[in-house]
Order: sequence, then structure tokens, then C-alpha cells
Amino acid sequence: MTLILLLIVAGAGLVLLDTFVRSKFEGVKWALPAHVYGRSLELFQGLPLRPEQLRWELDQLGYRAVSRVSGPGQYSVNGARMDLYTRPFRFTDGDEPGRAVTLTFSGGRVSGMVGGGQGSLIRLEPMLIGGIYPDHLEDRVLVRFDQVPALLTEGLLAVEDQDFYLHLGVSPKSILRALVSNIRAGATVQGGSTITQQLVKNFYLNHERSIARKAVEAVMALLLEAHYSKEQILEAYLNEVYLGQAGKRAIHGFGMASQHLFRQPLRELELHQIALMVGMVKGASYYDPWRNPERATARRNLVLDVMAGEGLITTGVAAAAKGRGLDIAPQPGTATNPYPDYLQLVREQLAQDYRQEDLQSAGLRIFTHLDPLVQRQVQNSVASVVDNLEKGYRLPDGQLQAASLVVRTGTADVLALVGSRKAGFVGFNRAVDARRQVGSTIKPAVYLAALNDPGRYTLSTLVDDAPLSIRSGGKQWEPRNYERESHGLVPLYQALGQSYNQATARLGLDVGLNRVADTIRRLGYGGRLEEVPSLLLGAVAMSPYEVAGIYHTIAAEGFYSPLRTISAVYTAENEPLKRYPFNTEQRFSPEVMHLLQYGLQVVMREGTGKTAYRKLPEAVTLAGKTGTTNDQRDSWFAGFADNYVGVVWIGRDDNGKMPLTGGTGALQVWTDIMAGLNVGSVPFAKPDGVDYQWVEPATQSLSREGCTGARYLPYIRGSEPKRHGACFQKPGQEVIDWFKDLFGNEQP
Amino acid sequence: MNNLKTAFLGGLALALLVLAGCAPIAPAPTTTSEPMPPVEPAPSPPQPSGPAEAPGAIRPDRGEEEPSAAVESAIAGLIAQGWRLHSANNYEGALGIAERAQRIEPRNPEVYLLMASAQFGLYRLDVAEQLARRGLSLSRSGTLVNGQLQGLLGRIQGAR
Repeated sequence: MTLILLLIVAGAGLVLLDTFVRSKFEGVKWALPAHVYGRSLELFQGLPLRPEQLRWELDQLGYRAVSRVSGPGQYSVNGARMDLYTRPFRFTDGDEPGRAVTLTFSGGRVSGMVGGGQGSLIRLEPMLIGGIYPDHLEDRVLVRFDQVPALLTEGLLAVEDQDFYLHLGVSPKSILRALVSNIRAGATVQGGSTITQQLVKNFYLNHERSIARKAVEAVMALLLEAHYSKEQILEAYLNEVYLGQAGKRAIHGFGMASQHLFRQPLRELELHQIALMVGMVKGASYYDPWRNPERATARRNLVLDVMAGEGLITTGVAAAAKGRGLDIAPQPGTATNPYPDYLQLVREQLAQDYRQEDLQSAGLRIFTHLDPLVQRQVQNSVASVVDNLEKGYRLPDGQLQAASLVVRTGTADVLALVGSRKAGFVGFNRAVDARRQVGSTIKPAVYLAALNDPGRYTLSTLVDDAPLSIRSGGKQWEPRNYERESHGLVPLYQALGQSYNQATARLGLDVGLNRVADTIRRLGYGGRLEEVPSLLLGAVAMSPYEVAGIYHTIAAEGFYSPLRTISAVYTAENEPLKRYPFNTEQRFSPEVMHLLQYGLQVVMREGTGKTAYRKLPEAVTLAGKTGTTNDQRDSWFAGFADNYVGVVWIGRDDNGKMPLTGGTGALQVWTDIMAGLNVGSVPFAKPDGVDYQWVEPATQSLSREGCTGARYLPYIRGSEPKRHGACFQKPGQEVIDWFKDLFGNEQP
Repeated sequence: MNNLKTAFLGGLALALLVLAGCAPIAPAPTTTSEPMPPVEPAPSPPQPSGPAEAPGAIRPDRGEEEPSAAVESAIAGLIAQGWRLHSANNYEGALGIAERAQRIEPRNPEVYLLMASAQFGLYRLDVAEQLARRGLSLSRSGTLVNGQLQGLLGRIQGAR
């Protein structure tokens, strides 16, 4: 009776175990993290790109520098020429095959591109820039059995389980062999577990060492083998096995391990690399090749010997592979999160569309606009210039903080973002979350509000830069110019260029606070605005990200577009889930924006931004605006060049005073960024409805080139001065006047 | 009388210009210890009485800066591919390709024509209209693409 009861209990237990084994193996086996990618670099003739920039990108992608290119993932450099074999990649809009191409460089550009098959455009695969991981922080890239090099599976079985294709999940021969070894040694020196048992232990059970756990493991291994093919079991093992640690993140499976160790896909690995990974199965930490290179090398060589012994490779090939270095990446190749500030923004935007558990487990592929080359430049500029500022002004180390971002003009793609001067560390993201008063950075909105009424204001309209005092909110508001001087009547372009507070305040009050506030909103600011006079001088707290949105609208000639970090989200199976398409809306006319851009160019040529030309060539047209808040607590610069809009903020986290203005602080970082990006001029085409005139602002009259006080200014057609000044001449009149001078003037 | 004088002076100027053009090339100056006789300066066109305009005379671009032929070719290939997808009613695909072209050349009005047409195909009229307007702001009047954008804008507005 007892026996029957025992049999019934055992049978029920077996059924339960069987259900457990099957349900987990057939369901979603792993919680797969979302992987986040940067933009893919498009290569074409004429692309502004220096060879060292491309080399850096290729190195980050794990391309190998070789003497002669023979396959995907390789490049060779010979002077200004580079041979490159790109990797195939499944892009969101289709598959791109690997292509062999020869690039030549000159003048900071790709001057020639030969090969590559059809088309004059080649894409590199996007860089993996981070992930959104499950709580247990396991990271893996799933590989199918047929994607794994045969040498890897064969080598793995030769080392870990030679009888894999013969046993039923448990190998008595292996257990016996291990038992004998362990008794002889008086300790556990050898395991008798098959691959199937190892999979059961890692996939279903814990690492407890007990007879009972071992028995359950053996039964489950038998059940697994009863239901599934050897290939299915091996594939699961290849994806499950633990192969290293990247910070808090656990590297599982050979697909991710290949990226982690070598920054290369599995299919590109050579024998000596495969042998290293196989060797690490025994103990990924113990054989960590960065920490214990000699131990890892010895283990790798042992694996190669075993492979030769089993006839998988010849002894000559094994010897050659043993002569190779470890060939691992300089650092672990898949840093958990090299761009935490950018990724934080991506996560915030994803959170609007996806549940956290899906992001952490569904294996989504998220494609973003981060440009690693631009990001690197911004990080370097912020770090180095802020360091130099601290040294130059003899400030305590680490007193200053900074944030910056760069957006592509027209597409509104956020290409780079740093939230602190030490990028790469998770912390307070000042680029997005720090809201600080913007000071004079807001002034373009005041001038735009004025210029949008061409019947009343033009760039040559005179405004009084005299001191003013008005009652606001129960207090007296008395703005003063930075240098405590007044300048009398000044034309608008000059008041903006020199950032005169008194003139700007008078102008804004004349235009109307409500109209200025409305202009700020139309430029893209979505936060709360208090319509008080101090708003005119930037008494409004914004993040650098919000300021970038405003300046993007200015740079894009009045077309507002929401800034974008994500381009598309795809499933783990590469099915499109969501695109984030470009959107735009015309908020201002191109004509009025042309006038404002003119004013922002005056800032850079003649005003508070002119020190930018110490580092950037005179021939390059720049536009932007400095900003300094009361007591110099914030140093801002926002501006654009070429197709980049850049914003920089420098300040102290305790909101303390600094010896920096917008021009001496943030502008210096901005200039360094733009110089590093080798920018060209701001596009500045004249819209149809704008005419340029030589005028004499002091007399509000038309003048001519070269006359005293004459200035060539753009006007919205019909708004130019009508009065002719003393120096004014009708076109063509000057030749006639010359002859008059030659032959004497006839008196009327 | 004034007209006559103006005509005379103009004719004289033309004659002087022709004479100047036919004059023999002056010999290269040789060094000499003899002082040169003082030369009365010839009358010159009126000069400004004051200094020239402040440094950095800001002027608009001289027409649209044309991208290089190679960039044009790269973009043209993408846009052609986008129109093929558009013709096959694959508007999302066309948008994806257009955005790829936009990243390379964000000021190319052809890109916005394709985008606006694809959004129009998806019956997103507001989005399509704004894209068409952006394209118009980047194209010169009288060009083919400008005309196409105007036509598209008319169709979008007509579809409301």
C-alpha cells in the first residue's frame, strides 16, 4: 500500500515537473532587454567627415583594422585612403548587404567613394548605445542555432559534453568519471553534468549544491530530452550560459558575449576568439580576460588543444591560434549605458507609449537619432572648456556644472545631449531637468514680437536705451545695462547685437508683454509664463532642452518641430511597432525670421558673441545669443551654424555667483563644439518678400553703400524707410555724377 | 538738355573704356634713382565720406547654395526610391525613405514634396499642408519643385 502511495506521489510529482519543464521551455524563455541604437552613419561623396572620425566610429562598432580587407567588419587605412567592408544589417527600411568600398578624404570631407555596388550611398550599422534591462539585469542577444559558427558548438561540446548526442540528458559515464576524480582529490574538482543538466540548473533551478537538487536536475534533464531535440536544447544553452559581467549587467549567451568581449558579431569571430569564449563557460569571472589575461590565455589554449585532440582542427591550426593575442576589445564593448543622459530622455519618451515591463522584457529594438560623433564632440568640449574656465578663473575644482545639447536644424533630431560636465555618469540630467533663468537668451523673442509688426518696427527702428523704472508686482523694476551705461537712441539690430537691457525692456513694453509671451509660446515653449516686465530680460526658468526647442524654430525659419530622440521602435523580430515621423508647423513667416536671424548674426559679428571668431573662421556665418542672469548665476549661449543648433548652459548647482557671462562661459563651450564639428555657414537665403536696402538708421532714411553710418539691412517689403538721406543716390546715378565732377557741374 | 548731356557723357565713357582696352600694356616698372614726377590724381568716382559699413557686413546668401553633384546623386537615388514606394501606395515606407534623405540634406525641397505627398496619401491633411509649406519656404519661385509644391498645397486644401 505504501509503495502504491509512493508511486502515486512520485507520478504526480513527475507530471508536475514535466508541466513545469515544458511550460517554461515553450513559452517566452527570457526577459529580453530593449536595445537602443544610435543613428546609422551614411557615407557618400562630399560628406563632411575626417578620416579619424570614421576610424573612431568603426572602432566603436568593432571593425578590425587590417592590412588587407577580406570580409565584413574590416578596414584598412593607407594615407588619405580607406578600404572598408561594411557589415550587413537589417535596417528599418530594408536589408543592407555588406559592401566593399574605397573612400578617399580631403579637406575634411569624403572626396571619393568607389565600389559598394549600386548607389552612391552606403550605411554603416547603427551603434548599440544602451539598453533598458530587466530587474535582474541579464542582457542577451538571442542567436539561432544556425547562426552560430559550427566550430563554436563543436568546440563547446568537445570541452563540456563529448557525449551530448549520445546520452539522454544524464551521462552515467561522466558522473562516474567525475566521482572518481573527486574522491581521489578529496574535493569537488570535476563536474559530471551534461550540457542538458547545466541548462536545467541555469534555466530552471538555483545553484544550490545538494543531493536532492541534483536528483531533480537529473529528472528534469531527462524530461527535457524526452520532449525536445538536441538542437533545441543546445540552442537554449547557447543563449542561456553566463559569460561575464559589465558593471551590474550580466552577460548571457554567446551572442551578447561576442559583442561584450570583441565588439563583433559571432559570425566574424576567428578560432582563437571562439576558443576563448568556450573556455570562459567554465568560469566567466575566473577567466575574465581583462582582469586575468594570463589565466584566460591558458584556458583558451587548453580549449584549442582539446579541439585539436578531437580532430576539429589540425594541430598546426591550433598552434597558430595559440600564438595569437586575446584580441579582446580595449574595454568591455557593451558598456551598460555610455550615454545615460540621452538614454534617460529616450526612456521618458518611450514611457509615454510603452509599459515598463514591455521595455524591460520584450526585446524591442529602439532606433534613436543620437550621433555618436557629435555626442563625443559635445562631451569633450564641455569637459575640457569647463575645466579650463575653472582653472582660468581660479575657481574650486568641480564648482561649475554644465549641460549642452545639439539638434539638427530642420529635422529637429537631438544628436547629442550631456547633462553634466562629466558625461557617462548617471546623475542629475541638467540638460532636461534643470530649469534655470535664461537671461538675455530670451531676447530674440522680444525682437521677433516687434519685427512681426513691420508697420511699426524694422531692424533700423530706433529704440531708447535710457534707464527706466516701472512698478511691477508691488515693486519697482529698474533694469540696467550690463556695463551700467546708456546708449541713447539705438537701432533694433544694435540693441539686440549688444544685448542692451534698457532698450530691450522699453521695446518689449511697447510691443506688449502678452505679445512677447505669445511669441515665446509660438517658438515652442510649453511651460508657464508670467507676463511680468522681467520676462523681457529672461526672468523665466527653462531647461537647455526647452531653449533648444525655441532656437530650433528660429533656425528653421519659423517652422516649429518637436525635438525628437527616437526615430522608430521595432519588435525583437524586426517588425515595425511605431515610427516617430517628422512633424512641423509654420509659426512665423520666413521673412520675419530672416530679419531676426540677421540680428542674431549681428550678435556674432559685432556684439556679445564675437569672440566665437577667435576659434571659428571669419568666413563662417554664425547666429546666436548670449545670456547672463542676475549676479552671473547662469551663463547661457544658444545659437546655430551649418545645420546644427547648439545650446550650452554653465552654472552652479547651488545657484551661486560665478565670474562668467554668457560670452565668457557658455559661448566658449559652444564655439569649441562647433569648431570640432567643422561647421559651415548658417544658410541665409533671402526670402522673396525681403528686400535689402542701404539705410542710415540715425536719420531713418535711405542711404548708399559706403556713406557715413550706412548699413545694408533687410526689410520686409514695403517697410523700408521712404525718406532719402543726403547720401542717397538712385541706382546708376554714381557714374553720371562722376562725369559731372570731371566736366564741372552745370548750375540750374 | 540734361538728356543730351547724359547721352554725351555716356558715349564718352564708352569711348574711354574702349581706348583703355586697346592701350598697349605698360612696361614693367624699372628701378631708378631719379625721382618720379608728381602725378595729379585723376578724378575718381565719389568715395564715401565716412568709414565703410561696420565689419562683417551681413548679406544674404547669393542664391541657394547648390549641393555637390555627388550629394545630389545620393539624394536623388533615395527620393526616386521613395516615389516608387509612394506609387505602390506604401506611404509609410516612402516617409521612412524621405526622412533618411532629410537627414542628409534637410534643406532640399524635393524631400518635403515627397513627405507631404506621402502624408497626403495617408490623408493626414494638416501634416501634409505644413510639410508642403516647409518645402515652399525652401524652394525658389519659378522652379519645378516650387510649382509642384504649390499644386500639392492646392490639392490638400481642396481635399478639406
